[in-house]
Amino acid sequence: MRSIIIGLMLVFAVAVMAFAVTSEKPSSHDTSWIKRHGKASKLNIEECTACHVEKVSCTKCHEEVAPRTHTPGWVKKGHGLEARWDRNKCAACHKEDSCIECHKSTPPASHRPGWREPLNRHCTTGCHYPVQETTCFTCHKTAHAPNQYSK
Amino acid sequence: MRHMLSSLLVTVLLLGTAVFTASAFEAEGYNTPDSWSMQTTPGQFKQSMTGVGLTKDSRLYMTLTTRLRLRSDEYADDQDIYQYIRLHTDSVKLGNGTMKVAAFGRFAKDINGDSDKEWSDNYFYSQRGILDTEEDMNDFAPRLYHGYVQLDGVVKNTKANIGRFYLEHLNTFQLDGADVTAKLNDMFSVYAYGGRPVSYYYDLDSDSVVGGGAMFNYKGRTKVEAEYASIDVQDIDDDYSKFRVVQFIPGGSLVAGYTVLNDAGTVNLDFDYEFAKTGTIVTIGYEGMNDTVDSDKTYVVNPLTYTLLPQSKYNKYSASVYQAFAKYFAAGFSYETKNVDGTENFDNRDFDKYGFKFDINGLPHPDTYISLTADKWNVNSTEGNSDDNRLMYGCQIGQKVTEKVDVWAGSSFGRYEYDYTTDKRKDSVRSYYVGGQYQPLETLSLMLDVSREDTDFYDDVDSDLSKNYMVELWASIAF
Repeated sequence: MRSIIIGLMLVFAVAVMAFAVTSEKPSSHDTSWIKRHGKASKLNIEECTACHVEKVSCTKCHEEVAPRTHTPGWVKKGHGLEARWDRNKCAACHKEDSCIECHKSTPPASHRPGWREPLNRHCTTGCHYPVQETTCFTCHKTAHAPNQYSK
Repeated sequence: MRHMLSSLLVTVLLLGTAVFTASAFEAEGYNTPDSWSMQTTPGQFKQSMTGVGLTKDSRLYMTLTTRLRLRSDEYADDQDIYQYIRLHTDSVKLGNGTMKVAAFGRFAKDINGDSDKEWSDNYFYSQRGILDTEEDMNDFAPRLYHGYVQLDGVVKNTKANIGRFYLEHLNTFQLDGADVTAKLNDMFSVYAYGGRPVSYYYDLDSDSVVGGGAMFNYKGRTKVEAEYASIDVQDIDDDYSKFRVVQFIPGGSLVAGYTVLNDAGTVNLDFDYEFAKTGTIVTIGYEGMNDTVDSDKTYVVNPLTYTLLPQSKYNKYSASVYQAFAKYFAAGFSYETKNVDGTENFDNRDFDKYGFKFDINGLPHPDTYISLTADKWNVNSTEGNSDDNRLMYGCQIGQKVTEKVDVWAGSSFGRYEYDYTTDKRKDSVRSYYVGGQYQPLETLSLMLDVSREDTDFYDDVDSDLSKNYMVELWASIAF
C-alpha cells in the first residue's frame, strides 16, 4: 500500500511539473486501441502507414522487441501454459519455426543429471501414456515407450 | 485483487481532491500519448522527418539505433547488443511512374556469451533466449525485415514490390520475391505474387509461395476480396484460400471472412462500432473452425500444430464495451469464450476470459494517462487434466513531461493455477517497470527502461531463484 501511495504522489509531482503537449495521434488511439488495432489494420493498411512509415513500429512490437508480459519467468513456464490455452493468440506474432528451433536448442529446467538413465527421474508416475497428453510431446514426438527418444 | 482495489480507491480519492482544470481530450477523443506503446514494448526506432538530399526532388531518410539489453538474476547475467538500420527514400520519378526503396534490419550479439553462466547443479541456463538460438545458427543473428524496391506506375496502372517485403493483401506473408498489383479501373484490381517465404531459422532455398487475388472496392466503403496461395515449404504442400467482405459504416465496420487451409474452413465475423455521441465503443466477434487442422501443415500457416498437435474444430465468441464518461474517465469490459467442438484434450480446451479496464485520461495533468486492467481466464478441465486459471491485474501510467521528455511506469500481478500433468500448482508473478525517453533534438532520442520480475516459476529449479532484472538502453539517431 505504501508503494502505491508513493507511486501516486510521484505521478502528481511529475504532473505538476509537466507542460501540456499536443499529440498528433488520431482519436481512435485510446487505451483500448491496443486490443482493437490488429483487426483495424487488416481492413485499411494504407491508413496506418500514413504515420507508421514502412510498418517499422509494427515490426518492432510484433517481431523484434518482446512484450513486457514475456518476462524470463514467462519464457520458462508461462508461455507453455498460455499457448496450450489459446494458441491463436501466439499466432499474432509467432510462426512455428521459432517455437520448434528454440525448443530444440533449449533443454528445459527439468532435464538435469539423472533425468535419463540410470535414475530415469523423468518417469515419476510410471510411463506416460498417452505421451500426447504430457508436456514431453512438445519436443519428443516419438517417445512411445520407455527408453526410446526422438533425439 | 486487494492490490487492484486499493490502487483504484486511492487513485479515486486523490483525483477527487484534485482541482486542476484540464482539457484532456482533443476533438472529443481519448487518444494516448505518443509514448504509450512503451507500456507494451520499450524502445523506439525514431523516424527521420527531414532526411538528406538524394536527388533534386527526393530525399533519403535513415535512422541508426543501438540497443543494449542487460539482464540479471540470482544465477546468471546476460548482456546483448543490437544494432538497427531503417531507411527509405521519397518516390523518385522513373519513366511514367515513380520508384522508392525501403529497408529495415538488424545485427545482434550476446556480448558476454556463455561466460557468466552459473550452471549450479543442473543444466539450466536461466537467461537462455531466442537470441542464443539464432546465434547458434548465424553469427550476429542478422535479420532483414524488409528490403525492397517499389515501382509505382512505371508500367501503367501497376504497382510492383521486388525484394523482401510483407504482402499487404488478405495474406501478409513475408516473402523474398515479387508482388504485382494491377488496377483495372476505379473499383477492380488484381494481384499476383511469388517467392520464397522468410524464416530466420530455416534454410528455405527450394521452397516457394505463389498466389494471387482480386479486390472490388466500391468508394472505399465496400470491399470484396478473394485470394488463393499455394505453399510448398519443407516438402509440405498446402492450399490456402481467403475470402472477405468488408462494409464500412459511419462509425464502424462489418466484416465477414472465410479462410480455408486444405479442408479446414474458418469463419470470421466482426462488428466494430463507435457511438460518437455517447463515447461508446462496441465490438462483437465470432470465429468458428469447421474441421480439425492436422499436424502435417507447413509452419507458414499452421496453428502451431507441430508443438501443440492438431487443432480441433471450435467456436469462439467475443464481445467488448468501452465507455467514456465524466470527461476524464473510461471503463471497459470484455468477454471471450471458446467451445471446442471436436476432440478435447490437453491442447484443445474450452475457456472463458473476462477483462476489465478503467482509464483516467488527462488527470491530474492534460498529458497524464492512467490505465487499470484486470482479467480472469478460466480454462476447463479435460480427461486427465483439471481446470487451469489465471488472474491478472495491473496499472500503467504515462506522462508527457515536456516536448522532449516522456516518462512511464507500470506494475502487474499474475496468479496461475494449473495442472502440470501430475500435480496442481499455484505460481505468482509480479513485475514492475519504469522508464523515460529524452529527445533533445528532432533527430535524436535516448531511452532508459528498468524492469523487475519476482516469480514463482523457477520454484521447481531453486526457490532462491526468483528475481529478474532487466535494463534496456536505446539511442536512436535520425538523418
